[in-house]
Amino acid sequence: MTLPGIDAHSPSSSQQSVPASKQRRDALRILGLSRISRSRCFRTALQAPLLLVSLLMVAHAFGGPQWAPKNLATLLTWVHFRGLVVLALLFAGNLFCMACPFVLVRDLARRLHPPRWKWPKVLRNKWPAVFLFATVLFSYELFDLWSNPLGTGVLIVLYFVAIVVVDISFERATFCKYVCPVGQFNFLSSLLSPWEVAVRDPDTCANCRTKECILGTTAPRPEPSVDFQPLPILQRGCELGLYLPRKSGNMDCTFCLDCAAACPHDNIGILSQMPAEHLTTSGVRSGIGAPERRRDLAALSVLFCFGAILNAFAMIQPVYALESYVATWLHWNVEWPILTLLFLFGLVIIPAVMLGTTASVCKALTHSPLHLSDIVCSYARSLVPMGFGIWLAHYGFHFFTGILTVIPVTQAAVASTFGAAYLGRPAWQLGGLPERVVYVLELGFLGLGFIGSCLVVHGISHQVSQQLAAKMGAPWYALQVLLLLSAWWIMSQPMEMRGTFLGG
Amino acid sequence: MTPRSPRRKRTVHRHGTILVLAVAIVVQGGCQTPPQKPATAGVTVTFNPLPLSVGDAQVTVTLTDESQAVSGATVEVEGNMNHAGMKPTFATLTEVAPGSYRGTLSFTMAGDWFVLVNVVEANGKRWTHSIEVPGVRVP
Repeated sequence: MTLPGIDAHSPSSSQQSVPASKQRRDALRILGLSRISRSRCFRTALQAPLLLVSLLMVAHAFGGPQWAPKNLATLLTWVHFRGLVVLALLFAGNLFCMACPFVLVRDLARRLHPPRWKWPKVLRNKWPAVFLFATVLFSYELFDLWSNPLGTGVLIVLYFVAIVVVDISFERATFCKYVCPVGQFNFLSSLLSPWEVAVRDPDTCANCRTKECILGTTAPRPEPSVDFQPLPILQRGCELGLYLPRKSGNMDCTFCLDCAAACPHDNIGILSQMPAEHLTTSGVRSGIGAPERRRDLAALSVLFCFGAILNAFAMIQPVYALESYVATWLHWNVEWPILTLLFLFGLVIIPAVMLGTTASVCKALTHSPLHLSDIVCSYARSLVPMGFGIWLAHYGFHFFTGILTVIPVTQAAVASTFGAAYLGRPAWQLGGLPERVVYVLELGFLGLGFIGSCLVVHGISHQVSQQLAAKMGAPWYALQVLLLLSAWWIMSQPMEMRGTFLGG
Repeated sequence: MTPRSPRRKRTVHRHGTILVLAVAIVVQGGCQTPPQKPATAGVTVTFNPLPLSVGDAQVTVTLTDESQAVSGATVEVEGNMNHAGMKPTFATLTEVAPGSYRGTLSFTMAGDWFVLVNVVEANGKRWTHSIEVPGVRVP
């Protein structure tokens, strides 16, 4: 990206803007996990409980009651999992990917069938994930997954099947980096997290010649040897292609800590970072390239933000009125074409108009010679904090209003399974925080997202040109205000949980 | 890869077995859904006022068995939203006429609901019947 005034080697480039490691706190050392996190069992110990929970959810989805509020699959997936993921991302980092149960199954499958192929070059970008992310959002509405235990169970099983099929075929963490929609959600959100996996002392890396953090640790080559076959990997390095000394931010980082385990100098930790800091910096970074030049990343950011609005909009009354109106107007009586139209407007046409208009104003104010799409590409990342704020508000609503409902549902599941109420009679009176309290939290999350986005706009504009920063940023601030007002209006509407758009 | 010790292999196998057993128990046990309405039983559920909106609504359940009114039963209705994570509401109904039971159920949020009618007949027979209550409106 060559916006006027930008200098790829300016002091604001990503590497130099990261605070010195001496000033950064290390979560692994604070928690006393520095040594144990390098053990092979560390991640497995996190994954195994989640795998057990996942299997129990699948079992309950297929064998339990087919009522969403009474089924662990729907309850844990759509209320607790989503809520905990966004809160973990807000307060810590990409903890779900760290403990991902799908990866544990993938690792087991790879022992039986090691991958042989490389992911095709044409697909080494975020476009497949953009498509799949949109597909998941669409399927969620079309199949009413929030009210569909069987559908939720099928989705979980499909996820296991997909990661196994992709990753026993293709080398490295192909599924995580290029396919997984949940992963992409976590990657973008973790740019707002206060912690990142990073190098403790850059000077140590400067003297390192073996680069285990990305290449992994191999068995020693027997001496004398003329065999140049690859040696077996004892500890893999970063499978997502992030070379730690040049890594910047959490994009594409699963927090797997393979790099930390492989580093012979114990020089990798989970260090504090300023949330959203890496959204404001430009320049090439390992495994990512220059984010401000990548249209696939820009598209992912736009989908992340407008998908959040659409997903929340689909839970309030006006969407049903709109759908009924469209259905009557077009004489359609099936849901999928109407939903397709809604998604086309919500995820393509409206974002294109809003971003195109904003970029046009920006171009006119600054007399920039750049193409509109380049300006959009540069500023698209400023949508990420606002999008995250909306996801937080939406998922936070479900999580906080239903946080305790897991207790009676588990009690009922145990009573049904064993024929005896070992955990007591289901306490159905347990719910969560009152909606009026949660509404205040929602507004707080939206406010955080808005402030974050404005700061990113400010950072990008000042990076481009100190003189033109105010003019360049003005239309983008206005866009953030518009997004904030839209989200605030949606969150202020009474939530209306429906699966029957057409009243059927 | 380094070879695994027999002890570690045994531990892995033991944990795997526990995992499979736990899942099998839940699958088997989870199938024990509440007994459904007998084929000969008839259930009619009516609400007042209509259309339903957020707030209290009078619910009347009429029970029949082979066209005969079912008297002396204990009838409880449970309102649930179709989205997970919502607290159910309950109402215990009182018999106002032979086979006709009435009470007040609270709809706490707009949207799609389903109501479970839990019946314990005078002879001790228990069963549950589910009905969809779509489109509860904002008042």
